[in-house]
Amino acid sequence: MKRAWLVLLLIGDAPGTPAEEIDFPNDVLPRLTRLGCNSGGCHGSATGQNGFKLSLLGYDAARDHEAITRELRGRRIDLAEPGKSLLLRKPTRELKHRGGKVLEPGSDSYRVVLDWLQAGAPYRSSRPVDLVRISAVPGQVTAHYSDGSTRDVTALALTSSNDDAIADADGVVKAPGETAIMVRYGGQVTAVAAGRPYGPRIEVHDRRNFVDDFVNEKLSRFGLPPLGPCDDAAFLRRATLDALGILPSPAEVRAFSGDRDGLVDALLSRPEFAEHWSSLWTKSWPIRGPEFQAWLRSRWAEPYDETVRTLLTREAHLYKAVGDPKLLAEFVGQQLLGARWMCAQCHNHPFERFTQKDYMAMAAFFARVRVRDGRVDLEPRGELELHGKPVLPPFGSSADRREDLARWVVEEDAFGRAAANRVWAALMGRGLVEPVDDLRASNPPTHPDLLEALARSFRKDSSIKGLVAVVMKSEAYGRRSGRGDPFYAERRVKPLEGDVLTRAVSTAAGAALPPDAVLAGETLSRTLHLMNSAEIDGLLAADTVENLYLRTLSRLPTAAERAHWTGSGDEYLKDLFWALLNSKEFGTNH
Amino acid sequence: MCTRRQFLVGSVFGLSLADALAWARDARGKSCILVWLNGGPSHLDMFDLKPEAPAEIRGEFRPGKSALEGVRVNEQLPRLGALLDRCTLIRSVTSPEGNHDRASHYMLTGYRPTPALVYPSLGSVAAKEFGVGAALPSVIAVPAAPQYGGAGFLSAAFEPFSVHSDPSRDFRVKDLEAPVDADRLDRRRSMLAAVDRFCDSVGELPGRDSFLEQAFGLVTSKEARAAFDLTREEPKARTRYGPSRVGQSCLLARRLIEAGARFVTVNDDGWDTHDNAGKRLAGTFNQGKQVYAGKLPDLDLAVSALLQDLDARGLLESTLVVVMGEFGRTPKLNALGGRDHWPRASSVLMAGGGARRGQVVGATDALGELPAERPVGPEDILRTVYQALGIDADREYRTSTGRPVRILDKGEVIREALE
Repeated sequence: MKRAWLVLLLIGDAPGTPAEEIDFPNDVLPRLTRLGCNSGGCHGSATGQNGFKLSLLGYDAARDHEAITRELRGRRIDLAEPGKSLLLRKPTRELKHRGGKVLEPGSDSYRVVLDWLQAGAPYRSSRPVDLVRISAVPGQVTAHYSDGSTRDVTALALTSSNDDAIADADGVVKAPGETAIMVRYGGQVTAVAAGRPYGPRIEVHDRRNFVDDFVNEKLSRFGLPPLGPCDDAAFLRRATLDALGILPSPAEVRAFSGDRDGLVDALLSRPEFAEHWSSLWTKSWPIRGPEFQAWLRSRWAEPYDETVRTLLTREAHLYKAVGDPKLLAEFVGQQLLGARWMCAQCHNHPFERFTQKDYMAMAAFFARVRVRDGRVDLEPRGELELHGKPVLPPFGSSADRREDLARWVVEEDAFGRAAANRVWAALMGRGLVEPVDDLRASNPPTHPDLLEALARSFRKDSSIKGLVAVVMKSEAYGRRSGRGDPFYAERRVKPLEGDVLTRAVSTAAGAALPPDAVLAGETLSRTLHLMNSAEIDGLLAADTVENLYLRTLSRLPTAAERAHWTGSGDEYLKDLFWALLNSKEFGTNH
Repeated sequence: MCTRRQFLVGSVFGLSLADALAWARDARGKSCILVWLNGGPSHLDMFDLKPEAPAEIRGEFRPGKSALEGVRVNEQLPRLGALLDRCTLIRSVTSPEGNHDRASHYMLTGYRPTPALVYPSLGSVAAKEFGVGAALPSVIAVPAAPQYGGAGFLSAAFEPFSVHSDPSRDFRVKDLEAPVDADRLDRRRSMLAAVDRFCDSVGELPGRDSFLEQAFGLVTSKEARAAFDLTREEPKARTRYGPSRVGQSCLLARRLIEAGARFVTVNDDGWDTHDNAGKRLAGTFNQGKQVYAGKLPDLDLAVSALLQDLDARGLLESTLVVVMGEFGRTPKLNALGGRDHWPRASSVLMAGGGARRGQVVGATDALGELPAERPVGPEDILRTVYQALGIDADREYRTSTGRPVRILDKGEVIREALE
């Protein structure tokens, strides 16, 4: 089946079109795209190549037609002698072409371009139709037109795999697993799943809540048996780190009864939950400073949609940090809706249907916002411009346009999906969509129905805490750790973030480790700091082997470990403390 | 990349394929020292003087002698001027980016900044292509990498190793010294191995394991630690580089390259001379409690000593030295006697490592505003550096979203800058 696609790509082609029906958007442009003429590295780059610029992957057919037929006073084409056109002589390398030979004289694409030139290089044919959408199944891409007709465009579509190790762009599956193949044609985009199971279908029954229904369905289908639940101490450590960003105390380890749901509820009602999650949630936000953090912490128990509306319309935090309307729009897209609108600042997004004009229209919501003396003022007038024309917001009529935007944002489906995806990523170590802020049709979730279900549950009360609780109470969250596959058969091991690591060392030592920027990322500098710094060395103090394990790894030593650590004396125990602080078990959430 | 010839050579001499590949790599293995003049060095006050221009443009400096006929450099750079016959001077660099962050991104990565992606810098590309090193990290920044001088979308494993300490005063690489003696460190290491061995909840962590191995290598390798030990230099040698931060950083860079590092960035601050350019560049300058030495005399001593020292040790041919910053400065002096940001024209100095000797590339117009001939952009500079280092700049990397991105997607090698 997958092979079939490859074969189709090589030999298949759109059915022959009579010359008088060849038009630019539907026949010529897709071929230029397929040949790579308008890719980012060639004439599609923001500055073009050698003075010849095309829109990236052909999103602007009218301008491309203009560039080819009119620029340089039409020198790129020769309607008297079509075969002598630069448009054909350059890519066939008859004339010098830095992009090399990309077009074979006499090939199908060559003939279509030649026929089109012979017909007078029209923009539209005598019977114009518009591309409405594309659909794809493995092996076939179909274009759907405004007159109801369809065309097999498999040979002309561009495909690329989100994970080459599992399936290549042609859909040829190379390894067990699943990935998405992005399909693009004529400015439209879609994605198809490609992959194969690890083994025959199995039954997976372990279920604690609805999350597991979706996870189990996929595990069953892909024949991937999950690991069993982790032990209680591991769960306590994992849950405390995830919910509060701190280690459980030795007393908590000794006292834990094994009631996991009860533990989750207790953790989420502690004040450290708001502290840790408001900081984690905004790590990639452009708003900094203790004032904002304190405000967000105080609101963490409120519904998230209300908090976002307040942030956008009644508070100055955001506007003090970000002044440019375009950057404000990007913030809304990326941080609140999980959409990378910024790509559209320079070009229409090649993977998405969000245009440069859409981008400016979103920015227009902020066109009249000014910050004076730390307060937000609204100007009575003023518009953003694109190509010399004013751009208005796409909807709304409120005096304060931000009200319209805020209302729309929190009601968007993407708002709930983005929040659910972020919660999932923070707890499970990997988003259902990766990267977490790049939700789009061509980058589908690994578990689409699960993401929908989480977003649905979030929509009821707009509670981030509620989402956290649902995920933490699932069977999938509580499994033993392992490689951390995208099917959640095993728990993914996560390195501790810099601030969590600093707190963990402090808790283990019973004294504060000064924060240090080198602890922030996984680098050689972090390793050296934990190993050698005077700060760490000053915290080391002897204690019993049992206590040292409880303080650092949040568990009792096993019989084998007790039998191994037979030494004694101050120095020996301090060195063991050092070894535990530098161990992989301490440095990770597992 | 292994050509057929290299492979045959390997077989003939009975080397393994791996040896042959390593040999092939070493044979052309070049190193690089990037002296980064953070803030934007003034082309008009350094390598591109305009003595005939009106006073408000030519400023207070006079041209001195240089080893190249008709090439005027500031008389405050006498040593570098005398070495110009061993350098390539590019005087027609131009870019549209006039903001420090954006211009640094462009100059250090070869890509104009985009909101969607941070690109890897020269040093991190070198780390990816050459490897991160064993005991001594292969890519090091002194004291720390400049903004956008890091790994960008590549893994953090390719971040330059920052020494986080100033070589000109009580220099100690941060956290390099173990707080315990060698025997005890040994015991700690085996205890750590045992703790890890007992752990069954966490499998292999390749990143962490390689950092740990590298850290122990760095701490226990006498050679690696000696490379960072400036006290091993003769006092005379230390004096030659000058007592300044940039001088002692260049000395450290030479030691590191000698010990096997492949890319060292000397990151020197203080070039953003918006006011009192004359004093800041060439004279002691007091501001509050701070006393600034002139940037130019310091740089002159530092880089001339570096070039001569590398040459005397037979390292100049294999070490490319590049001196540059993120942009040039406004031709017209401002009301405060300083110059503001000016990306339309700036100069880059290269020497050693395959850079042509005694070459001047391009020129600016009479007022130093724009390139008058042979304009080149940051991507051309970077492509030339990569070419000199034997790095194929057309190689494709993948971002976290799977987007293919070439090391550089634009730019031409500046042929006349290379031998």
